[in-house]
Amino acid sequence: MTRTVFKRSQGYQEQKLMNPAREWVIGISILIGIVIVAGVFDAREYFKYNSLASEIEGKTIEIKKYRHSVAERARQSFDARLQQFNQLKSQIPTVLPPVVLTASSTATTTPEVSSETQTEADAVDTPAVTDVVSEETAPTSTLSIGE
Amino acid sequence: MKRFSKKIHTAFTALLFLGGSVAVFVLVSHMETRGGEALRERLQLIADEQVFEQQFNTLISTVNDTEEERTTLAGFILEDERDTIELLSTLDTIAKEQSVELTTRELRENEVEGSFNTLLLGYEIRGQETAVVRMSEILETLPYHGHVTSFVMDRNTDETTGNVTMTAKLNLELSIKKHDQ
Repeated sequence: MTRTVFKRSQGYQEQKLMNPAREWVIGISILIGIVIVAGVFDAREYFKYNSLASEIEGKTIEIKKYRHSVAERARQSFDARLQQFNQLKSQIPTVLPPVVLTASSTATTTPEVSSETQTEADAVDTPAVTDVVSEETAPTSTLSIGE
Repeated sequence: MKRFSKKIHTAFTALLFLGGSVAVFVLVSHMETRGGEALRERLQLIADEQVFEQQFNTLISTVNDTEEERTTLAGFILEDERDTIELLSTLDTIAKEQSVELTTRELRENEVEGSFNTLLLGYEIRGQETAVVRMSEILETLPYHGHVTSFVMDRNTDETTGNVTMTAKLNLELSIKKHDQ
């Protein structure tokens, strides 16, 4: 009985929790898996940011464009207008202005004098309407635009 | 028992290294992602700055190239009250030269939206027909940005002398630069 027991006890095999070959395979597999995952991740990140500089575009800014053609047309238009203005301005009437003989409704404090009694001779002696202008502030300046 | 404990220790160490390496991987990945986003923001900033710089250079170039033209055009706009007074004085002088009576009926600045206000000018011109017509044309062709808004002519013939006089009422609207600009 004792022999039998001892004999059988020798038959128990030690349980191998660690199998070097198996553990190496597992370890290397995990290592390769990590390397592959990391490689894929890094490759994805690389391709994601590699062409980033060319993909990114700056903000679009709205700046009013200077339209040369419009400005040129405006300048020509104003030049023509200025030329016409100067031409008209230089045409000084040579005749003496007549007295305005139309009835006026303007209220006045001076004794009423009928304008119908005035004659052409009076018109020459009487200060003309131009003097009305001359009594105002005497202007000294002239237009100097484009001149 | 001792061998069993050693094996457990080895396995634990291996797992520890595995966990550590995974943790390092996750951490580095996270840092990489954050760095990537920061890179994207900076690249966007650089791109924006480049666009700003480019537009600024274009604008400066345009400003320099068109300075003469803009100065010329600016001369056709009333700049301030001094320009207005100068214009009024000039018109009085011209009226005197043209032998017409020029009366100012309206003179006020109208506030409008935009870069310019409008100067409303109302004149009454009296005198000989030819002179009044010419003076009206002069007012119409003033070398300033603006236009005639209304024009009324009234011809009066004196029955006794036969003299023809004319009265014209003319309203002008001229652009004047805003004072706050």
